[in-house]
Amino acid sequence: MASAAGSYALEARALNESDEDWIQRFAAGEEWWSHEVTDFLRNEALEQGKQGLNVTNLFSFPGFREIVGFCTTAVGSVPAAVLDEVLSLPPGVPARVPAVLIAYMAVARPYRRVGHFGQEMHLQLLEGVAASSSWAVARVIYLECWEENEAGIAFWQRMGYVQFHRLPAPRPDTGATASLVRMVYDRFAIRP
Amino acid sequence: MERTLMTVRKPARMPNLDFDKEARANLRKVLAQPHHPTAAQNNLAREKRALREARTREADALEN
Repeated sequence: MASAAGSYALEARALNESDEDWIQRFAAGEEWWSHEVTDFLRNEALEQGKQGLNVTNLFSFPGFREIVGFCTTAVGSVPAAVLDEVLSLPPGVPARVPAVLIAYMAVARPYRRVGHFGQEMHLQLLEGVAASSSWAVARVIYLECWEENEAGIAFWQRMGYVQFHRLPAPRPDTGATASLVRMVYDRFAIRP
Repeated sequence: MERTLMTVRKPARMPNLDFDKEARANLRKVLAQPHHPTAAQNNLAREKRALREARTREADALEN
């Protein structure tokens, strides 16, 4: 991905079979929510990408293959009926408001809290969404973060995401009920 | 008879867009905040600036 700002430290590439060795070396951290993200990349991201369910971008330093971070996104939508008063939509058009879903995103353990790599990966995502809008468009970006992952929630808030709901969900490791925080980024929001 | 031991692994969780009434109402409040199509480019520029400034601060801190 080209560096429009001229300040990107990382290069993005779409995950493919040649990355198999590298994704097996990737680890996001020791917390249970980090294991969930790591497991997804190692075990499912490639197959889901092949099936066209989502796309995983890997981020590495230019000229290297080691994975500094990754981001898996999909497209989705929220019913227009939810938002019709807000968006002043004409009746029936569009039926749903398009959204980009961040399914999984993580920075490898050695690169967390240094270098602002998560911030850069998110910026590259925003830039990609803006660049693709001549073919497809998304008004919002939606994600879910485990409530216990306080650093994760704080990160997304710094990126401009707003928490709007919580929902119970089973933890991937124990099955015990935990809370997922629902967050949204409005691309059109006028920020002070 | 040869038996194959199969493990069934739970598929990874994916974002859930089934919003209940409360979630819909809250989302509507968020998106009702001041907005405009041109804000998208402004927000992008702002995020680029924020990254540049954060890295400059980090580099300065390392030098000192």
